[in-house]
Amino acid sequence: MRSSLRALLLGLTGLAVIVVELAGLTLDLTGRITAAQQRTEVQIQRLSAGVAPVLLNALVVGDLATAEQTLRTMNLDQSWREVKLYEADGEKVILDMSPARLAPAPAPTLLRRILPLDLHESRTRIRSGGVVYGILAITPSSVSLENEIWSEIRHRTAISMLLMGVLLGLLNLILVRALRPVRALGTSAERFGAGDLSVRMPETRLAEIAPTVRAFNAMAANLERVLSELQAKEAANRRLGTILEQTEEAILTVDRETRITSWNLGARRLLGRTAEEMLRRPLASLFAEGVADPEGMAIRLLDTRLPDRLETEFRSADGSSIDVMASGSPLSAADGQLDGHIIVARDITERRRAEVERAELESQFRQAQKMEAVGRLAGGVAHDFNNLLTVIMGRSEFLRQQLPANDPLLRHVDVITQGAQRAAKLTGQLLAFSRRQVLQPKVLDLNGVIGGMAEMLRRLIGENIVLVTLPAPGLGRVMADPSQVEQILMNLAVNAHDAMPSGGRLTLETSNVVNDETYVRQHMGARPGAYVMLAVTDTGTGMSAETQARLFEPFFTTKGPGKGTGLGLATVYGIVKQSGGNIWVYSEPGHGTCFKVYLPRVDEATDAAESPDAAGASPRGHETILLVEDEPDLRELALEILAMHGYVVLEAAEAGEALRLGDGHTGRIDLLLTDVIMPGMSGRELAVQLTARRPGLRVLYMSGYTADAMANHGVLEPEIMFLQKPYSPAALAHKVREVLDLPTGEVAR
Amino acid sequence: MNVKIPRALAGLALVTLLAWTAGAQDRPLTFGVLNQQSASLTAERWNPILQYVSTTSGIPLQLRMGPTVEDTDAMMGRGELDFVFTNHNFQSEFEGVGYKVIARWSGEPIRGVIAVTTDSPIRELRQLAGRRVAFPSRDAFAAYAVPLLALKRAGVTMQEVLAANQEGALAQLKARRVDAAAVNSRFLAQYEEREAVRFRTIFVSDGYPDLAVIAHPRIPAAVVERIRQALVGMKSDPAAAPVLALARSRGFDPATDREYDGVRKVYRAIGQ
Repeated sequence: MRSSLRALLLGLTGLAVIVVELAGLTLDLTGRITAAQQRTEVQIQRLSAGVAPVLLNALVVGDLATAEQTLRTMNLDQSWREVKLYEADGEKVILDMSPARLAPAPAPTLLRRILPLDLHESRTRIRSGGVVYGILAITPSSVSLENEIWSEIRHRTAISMLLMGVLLGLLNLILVRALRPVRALGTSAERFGAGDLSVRMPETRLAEIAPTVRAFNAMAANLERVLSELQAKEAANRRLGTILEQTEEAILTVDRETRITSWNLGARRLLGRTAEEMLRRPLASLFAEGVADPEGMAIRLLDTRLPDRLETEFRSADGSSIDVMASGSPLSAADGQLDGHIIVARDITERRRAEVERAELESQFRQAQKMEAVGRLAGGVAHDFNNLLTVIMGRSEFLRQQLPANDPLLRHVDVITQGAQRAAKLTGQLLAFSRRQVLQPKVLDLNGVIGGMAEMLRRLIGENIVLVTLPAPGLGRVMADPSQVEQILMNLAVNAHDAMPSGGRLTLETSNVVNDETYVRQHMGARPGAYVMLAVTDTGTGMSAETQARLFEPFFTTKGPGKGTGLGLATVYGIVKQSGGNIWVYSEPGHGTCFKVYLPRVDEATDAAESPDAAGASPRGHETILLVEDEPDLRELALEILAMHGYVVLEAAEAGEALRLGDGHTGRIDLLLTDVIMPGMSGRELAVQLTARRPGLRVLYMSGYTADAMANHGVLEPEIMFLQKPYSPAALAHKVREVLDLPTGEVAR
Repeated sequence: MNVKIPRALAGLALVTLLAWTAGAQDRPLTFGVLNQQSASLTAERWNPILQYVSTTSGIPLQLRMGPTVEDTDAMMGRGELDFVFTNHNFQSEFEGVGYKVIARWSGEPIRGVIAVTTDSPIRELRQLAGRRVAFPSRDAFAAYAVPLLALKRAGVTMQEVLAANQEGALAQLKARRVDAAAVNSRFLAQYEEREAVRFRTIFVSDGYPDLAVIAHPRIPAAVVERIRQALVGMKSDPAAAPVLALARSRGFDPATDREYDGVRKVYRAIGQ
C-alpha cells in the first residue's frame, strides 16, 4: 500500500494536535473538575455556614418546618443532588430534601464514564455549645459540572478543530511547497530510472532539500557518466562480440581442462562444425589426423604467446585438413587465477596458395625480364642487320639489273639475294619477338581470320591431325595487325603439329572473356578488362614445367637440330605483347598443350580489307626529295635508287645538316625521306621542324624498328607514312611514289 | 421516730433519684430557656451550662425552647419543660402550673430602661407621646412590662412597635426607625459594648431580680436539689468559669418564689 509523506505528516500532525488537545483538555477538565469540586466544597461550606444558624435555631427550638423550608429554599435550583439533615448520630434522617428527579445532563453517558464527575457528599454538623443538633449532608449535583464540562469540551473541540484545520492547512501549504522538490525529485528519479539520463533537478532554495537535490544531480551526473561508460563498454563489448563472432578468425576458448567452452562463427566457418558439436570437446580433437601428438600440440598451442603463432593443421567437418595459424593466450578470472585459454586460428590455405602464386608470378616476372633483355638484344641486332641487309639486298638488285640475263654471275646474285631475304625474315622474327617491328593494326574479327586461314592450316598440319574450329558467336573485335595475327596462328599450328607426330586434334577456339582482378593477381602482366581469347589446343606430347619456363625464349627449342629456329613461339610472344595482349600456356606431359592468347576487345567495326599493292614496274618521278640517313651505305643506296627513278635528291647524314640544307635550298622540296633513329635529332623531330618551315612538305620515315619517338610501342598512327627496313629498290620506289601521290588532305607530317 | 421518718424519706428520695437517674439515661430532663436571644445564641450559651450541670449533678439536661416566647411559654404552660429559665411564670395565667423557683441569674437587679439615640431630642418620657417606641415583645418583663407601666403612669400614649426581641428593638433604634427602644439594663450594656454604640436612657426602673430557674413540681426534690446545687455551685467552681464567661453570666444564686413578688405585681399592674 502506498503512503504519502504529506498525508503521513498531516495525519501525524493532526493526531499530535488531537493528542495534545486531548491531553490539554483532559488536564483542563481535570483541573476544572478539581476546581469545581473545591468550589463546590467551598460553596457547601459557605452554604452550610449560612444555613447552619437558621437550622440551629430551628433544631434548638424543634422547628422542623422552618428547617424544611430552609433546606427546600437552598436547593430550589437543584444544585444539590442530595440535601439531607441527619440527627446527631449521622444515621437517622430528620429531613430529606433531595430533589426527586434531577434534570438530565446534556453530556453523553460516555463522558460521565470517562471523567470523574461525581461530587462527594459534604457533611456539616449543626452544633452549638458542644451539643450537636443535627448533621447537614449536601451532595452536589454534577449536572451543572457536566454542563460546564460538556460545554467546555464542545468549545475546546470547536476551537481545536478550527486550529487544527488552520494548522493542517498551513502545514499542507508548507508541505506542498516543501515536497514539491521532493515530488520533482521522485519524478526525476522515475524519468532517470526510465532511461532519461539527462534529467537534472532544478536548484531549490529549501535548505533541507537543496543538499538532496545537489546529491541527486551529482548522483545523476555520475550515473550518467558511469552508465555512459558502461553503455560504451557494453557497445564495445557488443562490437567486440560481433567482431569476435563475425571475424574470419576462428576464436574459441577452453577451460583449464582444455575443454572447449566457446566457439564463434569463424570457427564454424573454418571447420564446418557448430558450437553445439564442439562445446566440451577437448582441444586436441581439433587437430587433423596427420598431426602427430595432438595432445602435445594442444599444450604447445596454449603456450603460444602473441606475436608468436603456431602453424598446424585442423580437421574440418568433412575430414579434410585445413592449414591454420593459431595462437593461445591465457584467460584470467576476476581473482587473477587462470580461467582457461583463448585460441585464435586463421585459415592460411589461401595465404599458402598466394605464396605459391607469388612465387609463380616472381618466376613470370623473372622470365619477362629475361624476355625483355633478350628482346632488347635481338632488337638491337636486328636493327643493324636490317641496315646491312638493306644494303646487300639493294646492291644485289643493282647487280641483277646490270648483269646480262645469261650472265653466270646472276646465280651468285640470286644466292646473295635469297640469303639476304632469309636473314631479313630472321631479323623480322627477332624484331617481332622484341616487339620492335612496326605494326599497322586494324580492327579484326578473329573468327574471320581463323576462317580465312583454316584451309591453309589444314594443309600445314597434315591429314593425321584434325583441325577443329570453335568460333564463339558474337565474338568481340580486336585491334591487331592482320599479318601478325596470321603469324601467331601459323606458328602455334606449326608448334602443335610438331607436338603431335602421331596425329591428334588441333582445336582453335575463340571466346569473349573478362579478366577480373583475381585473374590479374594470378597472371603477371595481365590487366583487367574485356578480351577476346584465342585458344589453340593440341592433344600432343605436352611439356614439362622446365620447358614451359623457357618456352618463349628466342632460339629455345626442343626440336632436333635443323628442325626449328627457336623463334616461332618467341615471335608469337612478341606479337601478342606488342598488341597489348597476353599469352599463357597450360600443359602437362602426355596431356597436350593449350595456348591461350588474350587480345584486348574493342568496340569498333571491322576495317575493310586492303587490297595488296599492285605488282609491276617501279614508278618514277621528278620531285625533289631530301634524303636523311646516317648510314653512309644506306644513304648512298637510297640516293642511287631514287636517282635511278628520276627524282632530284638532296642528301644529309643527320638532322642538322638536313635543316641547313633545307634552309639553303631555294627550290621546292616535295618529300622528306628520313631515317628515324639517328644521332642527335630524330627523324620525327626533323620532320616537325622542316614541315614548319616548308608547309606542304611530305614525309616518309624508314626504319628497321620503331621507337617511342616514332610510334607508341611500335604501333604507327594511321597517317604516318613508313617504310620498313630492309627494303628493296622497288619497295622504296613504290613507297615514295605512293606518298607523293597521296591527296593533299591525307598527308601527314 | 423523728429520726426514722427523715431516714425513710431520705431512702425514698434516693430510690426516686436512682429511678430518675436510670430513666434519665433514656430521656434527659428538659431545660427550657426563655427566648431572650436567638435560639442559636441561647444554645451557644446555655448548652455548656447544661452540660456542666448535667455532668456535675449526674442528671442529664437538654435544652428546650420554643420558636417564640409564646411557644416557650406555651410549652411551660403545658408543663412540657422540667426546668425553665424564665420570669413569665409569674404572670397570672401560669400560676396554676406549679413551677417553683430554685435559683436565679446571679448579678445586679435587672432594670427596665427606655433608650434613645444620643442625638435624640427626647429627654423624658412625655416626649415619647405619639412616638414610635420599640419593645421586644409583650412577654418581656423588664423590657416591656416595666417600661410600659412607667409610660402608663406618665400618661404617655405612644406607638408600640414590637421588635420580637431586645436585639431587634435596639437594632431598630440604631437604624432610627423608632424614636426609642425599651430593653433591660443588662442587655443594653452588652449591646452597646458589642456594637460599639452608645444610647442615652431617658427611663431606668427600679431593680428587679433577674430571671429565675424554676422546677416543675413533678421533678423529685432530690433531683431539683442536685440541679440547684450544681447551678449555684458554678460560681465557686473554677471549672465552670469558662462556661459562665461564655454565657456572660456570674453564675446562679439560690432564690425563692417570694423574691419575685414585685415582678408578679408589675404583671398584675399591666394586666398580665
